Amino acid sequence: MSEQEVMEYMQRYLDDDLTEDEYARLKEHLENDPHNSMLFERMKRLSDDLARLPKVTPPYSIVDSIIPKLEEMEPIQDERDRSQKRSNLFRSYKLWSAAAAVLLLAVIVFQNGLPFPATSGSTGSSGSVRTSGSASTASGDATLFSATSAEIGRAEKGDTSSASLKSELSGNVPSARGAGSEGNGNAGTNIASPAAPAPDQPVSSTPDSRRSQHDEVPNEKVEGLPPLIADADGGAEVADTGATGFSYEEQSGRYGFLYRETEDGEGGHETVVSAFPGSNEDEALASVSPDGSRTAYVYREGESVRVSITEAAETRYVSEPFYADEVELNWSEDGTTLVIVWTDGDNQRSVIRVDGTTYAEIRD
Amino acid sequence: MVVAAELIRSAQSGDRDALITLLREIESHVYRTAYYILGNEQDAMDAAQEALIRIYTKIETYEEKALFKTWVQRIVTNICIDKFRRKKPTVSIEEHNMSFPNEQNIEEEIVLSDVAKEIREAIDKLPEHHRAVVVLRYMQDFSYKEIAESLNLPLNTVKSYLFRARQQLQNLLQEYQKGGVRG
Repeated sequence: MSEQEVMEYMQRYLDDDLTEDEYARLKEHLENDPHNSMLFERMKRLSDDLARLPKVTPPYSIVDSIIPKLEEMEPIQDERDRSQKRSNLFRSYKLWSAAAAVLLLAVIVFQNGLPFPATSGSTGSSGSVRTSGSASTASGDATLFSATSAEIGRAEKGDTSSASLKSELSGNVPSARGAGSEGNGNAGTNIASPAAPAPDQPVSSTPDSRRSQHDEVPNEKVEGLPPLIADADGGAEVADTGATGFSYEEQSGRYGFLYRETEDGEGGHETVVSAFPGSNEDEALASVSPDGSRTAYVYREGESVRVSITEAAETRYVSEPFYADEVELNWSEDGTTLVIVWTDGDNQRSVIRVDGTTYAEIRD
Repeated sequence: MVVAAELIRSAQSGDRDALITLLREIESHVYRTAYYILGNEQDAMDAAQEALIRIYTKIETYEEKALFKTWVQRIVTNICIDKFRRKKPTVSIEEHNMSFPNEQNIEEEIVLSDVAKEIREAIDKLPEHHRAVVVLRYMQDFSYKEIAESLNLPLNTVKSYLFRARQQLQNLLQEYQKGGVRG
């Protein structure tokens, strides 16, 4: 057994997840592996100790203490709640934000062999990110990006603990198609990082604890979503006809649909564009690529957000959960590159770079 | 935590007494998760109160496709992670290790055995998602799948967080035994 296999088996044993055969293999291996055998004993003891932690109970009845407060409020009516969301969410369309555009970018390239236009050589533990040249200030450059973004505000009234998710178009991102070769193709963005590795080096994780959660390769299929009942081609109509609005409907707290709302003679109808993971505690934001073939989606749970993309009726995570206060999603004109810009709790801007196999965060 | 489906349905249909009974049945489970994620009684009480109020106001949004217990734990873990983030917005692992024991913990520490105390302190040093996974696995006895449902994480991510968390705990406790890391 490889070292990795031994570790996994030991861990799964602790969760009663090993078959008899697997356990026999592990046992046999450990007989000749005193180091891991000792580790296994320690892990078992740890697991037993964890299971024996005191089942603490509240010092007094919490329900009794909140009854006066509960009596003042009524449980929220589901239908009313839902219809409010349907009408208010995904409502914001902004064309340009110079401030937001100064700081970029996360990049996801979907086609094999495409270079990394915006983030070539861009990683480093203290790397800063800034735009350079005319692209950073001229609003006309927004045409490089023509993404459609949408916003969902915090669903719960009175909750001021979380900043709202905002979305806006931020241009200035060179499209994957127009970027040229690696290392010199930065049409609008210069990544200043004294410690920047060569573009073809893998992105390494850094000692920063908050960055380390990005070290896993994303691109994981989102399980448990319903099949799309319309627009199985991924919603190509959206960009062709121009979306007039989006709404988001939560289903059992597990997933949501993105609808395209269009006006017709009868007063309007909705078409399902994408399905996403999510829950009724979420804030969420979606952005349809200009060619309509992909929809990027970010949703919030607590302080963390996670990005997924629907393409050809399949939704995949393209990031691990990460902390963010505000998030922007922006597509390149050709729909091959997604740029994610976010701010974290320190009000710093951060950047994700993704190339399908690896991605990393850069903080300025 | 097994709550009768009938009770949940009554609560959802507007029976306030049923809803209050339901909250009483789950309050210890809610508190326990909050206690081990947040690490002290006061924060745990605040989070549990907030969670129960949220459950009260949102009960009609629960649908039976999800397990009730995972729906409840999702609400409380979200609140705890929010609180945790507000409390320690930028602390790094290194800084965290240097922190002094919280005064609020003194009373509880008398009650906990030495082993339990060491483990709880070690849990306090885990990143929040790892901590939540460990708490749901051991304090709620959740399966990988139930944890995944509660935290809205993929199954493989849950496993990887849990495995890493146990490895980290193991390392931390070993350091304790060597007289190591107490700040």
